[in-house]
This record gives sequence, structure tokens and C-alpha cells, in this order.
Amino acid sequence: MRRHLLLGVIVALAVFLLATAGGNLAGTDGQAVAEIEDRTPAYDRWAAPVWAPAPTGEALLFALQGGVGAVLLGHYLDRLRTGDGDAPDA
Amino acid sequence: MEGFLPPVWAVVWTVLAFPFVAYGARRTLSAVRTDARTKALVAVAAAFVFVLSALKLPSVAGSSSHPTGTGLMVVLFGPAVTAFVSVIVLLYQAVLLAHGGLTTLGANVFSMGIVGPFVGWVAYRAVRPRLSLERATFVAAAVTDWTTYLVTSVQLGMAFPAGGDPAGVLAAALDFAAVFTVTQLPIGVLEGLLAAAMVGYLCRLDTLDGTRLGVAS
Repeated sequence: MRRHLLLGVIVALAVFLLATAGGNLAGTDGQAVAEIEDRTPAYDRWAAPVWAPAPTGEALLFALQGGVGAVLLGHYLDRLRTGDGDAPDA
Repeated sequence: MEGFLPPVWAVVWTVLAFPFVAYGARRTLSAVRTDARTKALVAVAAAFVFVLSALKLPSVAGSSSHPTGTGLMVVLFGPAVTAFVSVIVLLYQAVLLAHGGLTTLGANVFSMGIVGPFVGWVAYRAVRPRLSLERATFVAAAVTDWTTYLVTSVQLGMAFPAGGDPAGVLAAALDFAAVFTVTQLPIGVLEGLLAAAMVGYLCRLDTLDGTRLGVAS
């Protein structure tokens, strides 16, 4: 379990660093929005997120997603490796 | 993108996506209940989607984008299960990260969860007789990624056409595709490599029965 947590932390850190290092890079989703506004300047955005994290918070939440995913990945790969996958769930 | 897809399209894509997701949910539940090994494999493939779609990768042309991570799931369990899993991932990103969006959820599920995986799966079935499992997985994952963003472009082209006729839709879709293409081409290749590596690893664990791939059990 400790190995999986370590893997999760490492992946989370990598995701965070990538997200913040690339912070000044334009995301393609943002570029698509710019394209929409370019085509239809009068377009009225009809919904907005109730809550949106700041850029650092966003990077942290992406890191959480990646970290949790990595822990689960490690855990279930272990099950497959040890053959515990055939045992009833703990 | 929240609020940037006109309401009528938000409804259309949500309605179109719904039956696929419902069917996928059923297939996912039955796969999870098959046996503990299959359940672990579903979890591995779903976790793989989680990790990869969390990555915000810098790409060429000074822009960044996300892998879809769905290629592995497509090869292991087919497009239906992938549709259901992608809803979970897209919901997380829409609600917690304000990324994507709830009003665009249907459209995103349709591209990332349904059409992309389906075309990737067709590509996988087409090349598998001639290629090794790893290579066929590479093709499946890359095609899934590229198709996902191509469908997004078409969806945006339909919502914001350059004119009232199909040519206007096509012209707009090509403009949107131009936004994604340069960034997504190398990311699709990377996705292919990662999915192929993961499938190779699963084979070495002796957990895959190569003949039964590409279908939800």
C-alpha cells in the first residue's frame, strides 16, 4: 500500500508540475472558445461554472485526479500480479 | 467551455449520448460482476483514463491539451464500457475543476466516450489480424484520441457554422479542427505508446487472454 501511495504522490507531483509549467501555454479548449468568439462576437454565454478554482487550485485538482488514479492503478495491477484478482474482494 | 455550446446543441448531444451511456453502464456492471480478475482489469483501465486525462501536456505550437486515456479501455472492453467510464471522468472535471462543463457534458461524452472509442475500436478490429497486440493497441489509442477531437471540431462547426448550408458547417469544422490538430497529433501518438506499453505489461502479467479482447465480457 505504501508503494502505491508513493506512486500516487509522484504522479500527482508530475501532473502538478506539468500543469503549472505549461500554465502560460494556451489550452486548446481556450483557443476553441476564442475561435467561437471570433466567429460570433454577439454570442452570449448562457451558463457559467458556479465555482471555478484558481489556476493553482486547478493544477492541484488535476494532480489529485492523477494521483488517485495512479494509486488505484497500482493497487489493481498488484492484485492482477499476485493473483489476488481471483480471490474474493477484501 | 461551460455555456459556450448553444442550449439546443447541449440538449441534442445529451439526448443522443444517453442510450449509449445507459447501455455502457449495464455492460460495465456485468463486466465487474464476471469475476475478480475482470473487475481488476476494469479498474486498471478506468484508472488509466483518470491518470491520462489529468495530464495537461504542453505540445508543439506553444499550446497544451489533454490525452483522453480511453484507448486501453477500448481494447480491453470495447466502446460501450468506455462510454460509461468517460462520463465519470468528465463529470469530475466539470464539477470540481470547472473544466469542460455540465452544459457541454453531453457533447463531450459523445466525442470522448462514444464516437472516438467506437472508431478506435473499429480501427483496432481492422488492424488486429495483421498487427501484434501492442501495435494494434497503439493504433486504437491514437485513432481514438484523434477522432475524439475531430468529433469535437464537427460539433463546434455545427453549432457555429460559417453559413447556413452543409458547406458552412464543414468550413467551420475545419477551422476548429485546425485549432486542435497540431496540438493533438503528437498527444495521440504519446497516448498510443502509453496504452501499448500498458497492454504489453498486462500480457506479461499473464492476465490477458488475447483472443477475447475488444469486447465487454
